[in-house]
Amino acid sequence: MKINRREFLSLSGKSAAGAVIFAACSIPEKELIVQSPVDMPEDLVRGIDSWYATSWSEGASGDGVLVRILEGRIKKLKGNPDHPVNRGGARSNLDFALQLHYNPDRLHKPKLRRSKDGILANTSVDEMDKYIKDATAKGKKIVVVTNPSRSSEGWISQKFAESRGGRYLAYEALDQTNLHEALFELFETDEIPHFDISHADNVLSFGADWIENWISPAQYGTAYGELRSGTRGFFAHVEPRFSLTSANSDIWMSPYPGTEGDIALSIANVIIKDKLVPENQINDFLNKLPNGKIEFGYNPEDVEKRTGVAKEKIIEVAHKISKGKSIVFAGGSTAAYTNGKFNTYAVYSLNILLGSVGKTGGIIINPEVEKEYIGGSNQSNSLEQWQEELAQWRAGYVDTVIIKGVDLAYSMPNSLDVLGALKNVETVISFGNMMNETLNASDIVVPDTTFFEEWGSEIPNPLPGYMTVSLQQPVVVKDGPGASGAVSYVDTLLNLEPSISGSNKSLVKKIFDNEYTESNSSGSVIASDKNSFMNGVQQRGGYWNKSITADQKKIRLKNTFEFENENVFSNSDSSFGEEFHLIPFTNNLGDGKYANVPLAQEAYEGITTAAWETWVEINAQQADQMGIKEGDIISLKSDSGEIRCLAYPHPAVQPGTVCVPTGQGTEKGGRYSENRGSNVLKILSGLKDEKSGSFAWASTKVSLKRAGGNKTMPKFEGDVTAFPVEPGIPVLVVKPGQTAHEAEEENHHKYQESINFRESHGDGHGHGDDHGDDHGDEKEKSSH
Amino acid sequence: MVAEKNRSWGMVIDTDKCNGCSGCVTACQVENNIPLNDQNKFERGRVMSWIRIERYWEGEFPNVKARFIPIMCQHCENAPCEPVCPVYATYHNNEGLNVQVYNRCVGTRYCANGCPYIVRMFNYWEPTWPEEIRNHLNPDVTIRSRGIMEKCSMCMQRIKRGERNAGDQLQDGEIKTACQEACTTGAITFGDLNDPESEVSILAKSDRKYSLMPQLNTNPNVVYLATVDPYKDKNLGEKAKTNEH
Repeated sequence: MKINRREFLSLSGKSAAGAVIFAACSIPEKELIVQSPVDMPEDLVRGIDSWYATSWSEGASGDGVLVRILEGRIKKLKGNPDHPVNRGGARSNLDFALQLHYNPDRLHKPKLRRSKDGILANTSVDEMDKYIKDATAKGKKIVVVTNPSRSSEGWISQKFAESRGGRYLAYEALDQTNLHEALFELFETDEIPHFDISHADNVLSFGADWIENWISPAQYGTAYGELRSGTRGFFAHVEPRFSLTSANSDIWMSPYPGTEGDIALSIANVIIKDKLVPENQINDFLNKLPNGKIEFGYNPEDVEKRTGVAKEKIIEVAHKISKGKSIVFAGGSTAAYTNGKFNTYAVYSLNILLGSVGKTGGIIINPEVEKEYIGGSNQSNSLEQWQEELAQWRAGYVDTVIIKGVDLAYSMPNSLDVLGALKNVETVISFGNMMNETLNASDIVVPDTTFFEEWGSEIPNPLPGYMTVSLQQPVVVKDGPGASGAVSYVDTLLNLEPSISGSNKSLVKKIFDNEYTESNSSGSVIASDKNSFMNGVQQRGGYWNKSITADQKKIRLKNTFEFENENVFSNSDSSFGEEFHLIPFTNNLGDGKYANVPLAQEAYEGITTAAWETWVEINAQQADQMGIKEGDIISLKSDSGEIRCLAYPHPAVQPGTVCVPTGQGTEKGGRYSENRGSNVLKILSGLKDEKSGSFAWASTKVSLKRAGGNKTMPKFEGDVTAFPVEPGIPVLVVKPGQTAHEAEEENHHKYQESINFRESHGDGHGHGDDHGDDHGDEKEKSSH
Repeated sequence: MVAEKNRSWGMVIDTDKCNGCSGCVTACQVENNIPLNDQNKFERGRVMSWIRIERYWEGEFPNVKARFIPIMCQHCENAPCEPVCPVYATYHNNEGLNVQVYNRCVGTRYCANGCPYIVRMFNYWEPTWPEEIRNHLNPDVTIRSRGIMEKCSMCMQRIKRGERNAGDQLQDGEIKTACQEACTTGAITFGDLNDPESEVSILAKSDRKYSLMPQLNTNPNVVYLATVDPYKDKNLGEKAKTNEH
């Protein structure tokens, strides 16, 4: 139909008028509500799913998890609300386990290197078995290496090594020997205590990024929620890096690296001087000191000069933690300097001054749990022990090394030359789900099962204050989709040693049969016979008994503390010089374990929001002075090597300190990890705390230079435009007792004042300035 | 006509408990079959995520603070995205949810333009997963194809499953969204805002409650509780320079 211009205009006018009239007639509201005439798939699909209770051995803290299975496939994980460790809480990385299991680069076939100079090639399971049998025959000198865990797997590792007169060693990249040493010397326990954050009024932590990933984040995350519930608990944190834990504290203290112990003693100094706690607690504490007093130099004024932390913060924290139930603990970088043991020791001793040991809301000493068929270790061997061990390998004194679950070649510093050591071992047998640098340097590569396919049992670390044994049960079949060809590590070792009879499944059954016998009809499962007991254990994800605890009254404290400060960072005010303190930190990729998991790669880091890359966090002001911009390619050089990473000028990093995440830069991984980013672990100096032999992984110094070039930083920050709001919104902040409405009014008033101020000073900015770049005297700064 | 239901599903998010761990983001991604965000998507500002954690800076070193807030579709009662859709692909259902019908969506992106919270995501690419990873996709949730819009459904599949399983006996707290389940600190609470005794209703009456962009009168079904800071407007040991621009 042809329409001329006049007719078109006429029709348009009538349509518009019609639309107005139509709208004005006010159609009943319900007629505007349109329901989809077809059901959405979400309305229709209904499979029958099953949920199984198991525990997550990948995380080593023995968290209880529930796994959703549908059509023989794993669909989802969540925290087991029944389990005493995490009480339904889940690590932020829990779902990553799905893609460890279902991964396109998962190994399905064994690999064999027929000669030291040969290449790794696929082989049959039969041939692999034959080679393993030869390499582990009686008379061979064998070393077995796993990650630290006390489990049925640890037990068989130990037993097998012993059966060949060999050794069992545990390894973790960021060694925590100082933590264990300090705890043992103070409380004579090998167990990490239960930190009763849930019932505490005040929490003071040092170095340990317990909200994100330190030791048992699901347990601590649940407790953090409880700390902030009801009468809101106070929380202060001491760490040079602005971790998620730092970000969530009420008071964050950022000291020069290595001076954390000074802050702990300064807090003690204030408490004693101002008599903030009962005299008997002060005497208990002082009686343990070498001269019965804190030496001169720990008053807040002096400590401020040494640590860079304002004395007002030290005094405020001292006063806060002296009231109510308080807990103080340390870990992470605080324990990882060459004076890490001193720092850790000084921090934990504060609990004695506060009367927090063995009390609700304080440090609860865990029972020493020893179980038949559960072995291994809850702590790794120290750097010193590893140096001695690698010397043995290098000298050709070891015939066979069996490695399970750790990537030594990726995570040990260059200075240890682990690849050189492995080359001198006759046969290296490695179990793994996907290729990594250690597997690549091995002679026999065994495609390992995941915890979804395997029986197991583990003593969680740390325990929740009482005896707990977690159960791991297979939730999918080994030959199921995406996982065919996997070989059980435990069953392999059991088959090689006839004196240890049975299978992995029967081993686990024996553990819980023993629990049944010892339970005396108490604890989490009460049953009339062993099989019913095992059924109960499988339903709940383990067995625990609240009546089996450590006697808190019998905690023995060491007679004297050694408060000799051997602070190697006394010259740490060289913050604007060429040398920077390098603090590595783990986040979503762990020590590289999750690097080939796409979910882990894309899970952006909480503070920088960066993903898929290696970045270096450098103080923003310092970066500005050095002319460094975001995305600049930076070279970091230490005495152990050099890496390149992208600059991230960070508003909350201690000047003179740079922080780099671990996990990237693997030379041999899968499609998501290989040749991506840089491996910061390689350039760590092989320094150790001479008092403990612990790896001083936060003591490395590096030079920092622009290497030329700039890349777009892959980060989430800036993906979404900031909200056009006034200061304080959308994250509205209230003072205790203040209502949201009052805070909004206050913000609005301040904002109006700032606008008036700018207008009277001729500043052209007006309403709706949403970019957070200028709010007069306000400090709000939005980054999205 | 729409069958009458008395429910109004909603959420309360306590920003004082949110520690910014992003566990909710990963859990949502797995539950709702959200495609992989590769490096390219991060670099191009095209990250697909039904829930995101925003981090805001405040102050300067050493008195710097970071604030976190999880943001997802606010399921507004007066949703700006609904009237602009030419094909009724987005509408308000009878349980208080803003619903996206994928097979109606023609990808005009008017709804995304209209949404002040920037929570609607457009599929610029066909979602792909390696065969192995497809094993863990959730069969309860449709995979959205290239060219259409998607957003938080408040885990409608879980709501439907919960309603079907419970019938008339649905209890408060029985249905949990994936983000809520993954939130270790308990910052997220989900439930029926029409039930005055539900936990979500009780929390939504807190003195700390506020909504995002109340001036727009969108009346969201997501209520936030303000962060508590005992040191608000106070700097202990003022060593930091003031923010002078």
